[in-house]
Amino acid sequence: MNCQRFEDVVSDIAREQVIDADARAAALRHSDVCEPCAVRLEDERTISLQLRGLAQNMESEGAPEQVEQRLLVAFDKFAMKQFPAPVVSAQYYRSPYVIGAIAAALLIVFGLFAVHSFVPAAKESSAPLIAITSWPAGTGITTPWRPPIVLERPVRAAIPTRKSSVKRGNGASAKAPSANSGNIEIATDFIPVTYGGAANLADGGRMVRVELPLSAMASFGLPVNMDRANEKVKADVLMGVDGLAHAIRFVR
Amino acid sequence: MTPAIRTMGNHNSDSELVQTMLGGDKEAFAELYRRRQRDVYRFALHMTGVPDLAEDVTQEVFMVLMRKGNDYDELKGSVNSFLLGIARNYVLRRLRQERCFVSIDDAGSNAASIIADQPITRTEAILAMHKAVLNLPEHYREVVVLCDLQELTYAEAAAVLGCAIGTVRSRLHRARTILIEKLRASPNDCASNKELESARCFA
Repeated sequence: MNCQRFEDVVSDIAREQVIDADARAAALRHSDVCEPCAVRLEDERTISLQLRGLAQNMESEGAPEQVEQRLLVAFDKFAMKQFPAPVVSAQYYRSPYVIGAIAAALLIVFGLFAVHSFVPAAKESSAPLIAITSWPAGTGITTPWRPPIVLERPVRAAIPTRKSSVKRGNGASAKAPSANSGNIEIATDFIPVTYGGAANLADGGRMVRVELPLSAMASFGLPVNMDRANEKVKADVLMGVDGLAHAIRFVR
Repeated sequence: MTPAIRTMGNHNSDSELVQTMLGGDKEAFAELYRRRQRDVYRFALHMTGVPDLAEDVTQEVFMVLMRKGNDYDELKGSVNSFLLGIARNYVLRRLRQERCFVSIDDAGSNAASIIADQPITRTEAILAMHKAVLNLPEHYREVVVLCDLQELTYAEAAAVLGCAIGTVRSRLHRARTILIEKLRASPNDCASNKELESARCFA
């Protein structure tokens, strides 16, 4: 080994770095015979010793405690900005997608409401209303109105409350709808409308509940108290598949 | 330190702590700070010699980690190297802004006495060495601080400095040679030292 190659490895030897064992041995042999390189190695070792002492002397040095406190406070603020609670801006509500979604939801709600409100009405106006009975014989009633008809509207299973069970004593009357429950209607016979034909009704049709002025009854030859001519009266209109009214009856 | 943090510290690597911290975990950030703040602070202190500045740099480094932790790439080096790299940038920036931190004459006169014939205490020698290191040009000083004072490997130092390992080796060799020259010089050679220092200031 010559002095130049010794110079290449002298720092690593002095710093006790991992180097090739042969190179290390050769460098040490060279320093034994070369006075300047021996001094150079000694200086390097002195520097290493001094630097190690400096490092050890400052080993315990660290940032003051308040730096950590400041950083943690800063982290809280940063985290609040970086991970905020979800806030919906006004611009979000102005988005066309959101408006479309709201409109679609409203349509669905109204559609469901319409279906639910229409289906029970059709059921109500079907079988029970057509099952017309006669006034009991001997009552002497002379009126175009037919006897009361109990509409079979769907009734939810009543949850017996403590109060009602105490009042009724026995549960016999709880299941049967009473006459005072508000579902009783009195209706006239169906009156054919002049332009309709009975043959058309055989193909099917539907009944539509309408409200007419009380005076409309007079046009069908029914007695009307003209003092109440402006009041409304309900009527069921039988509509054929052709969309025309074939018969009408008045209900109260 | 809370038990939760201690547990986290025992099981999570620095990289995992960074990822957890980026998810908003304050405890992960605190744990990472407690692990690495000494390295960052000491690096800044060795580089500047000013505790207040080292404190500022340490705070800035972890603020950057907080804001730009996504920039950390595990493949490019350790978290410690990443933090020291940030610290190095801040230190160099501050040193350029405030050139008057190190009294070169003072450092030179103290350093000159280390290997002089007169007896000196170990503390004096360490203090003189500190000043001699501070007196080095920045690109030499940083390799001495990283490799000799903070005992990083050449590869780790290269990752911090963003240069090749060979560059680190050559700079360290040159830096140590400068230190030896400086410490070997007698007080009578102060005049020649001053010329050398003036030249280094423009390096």
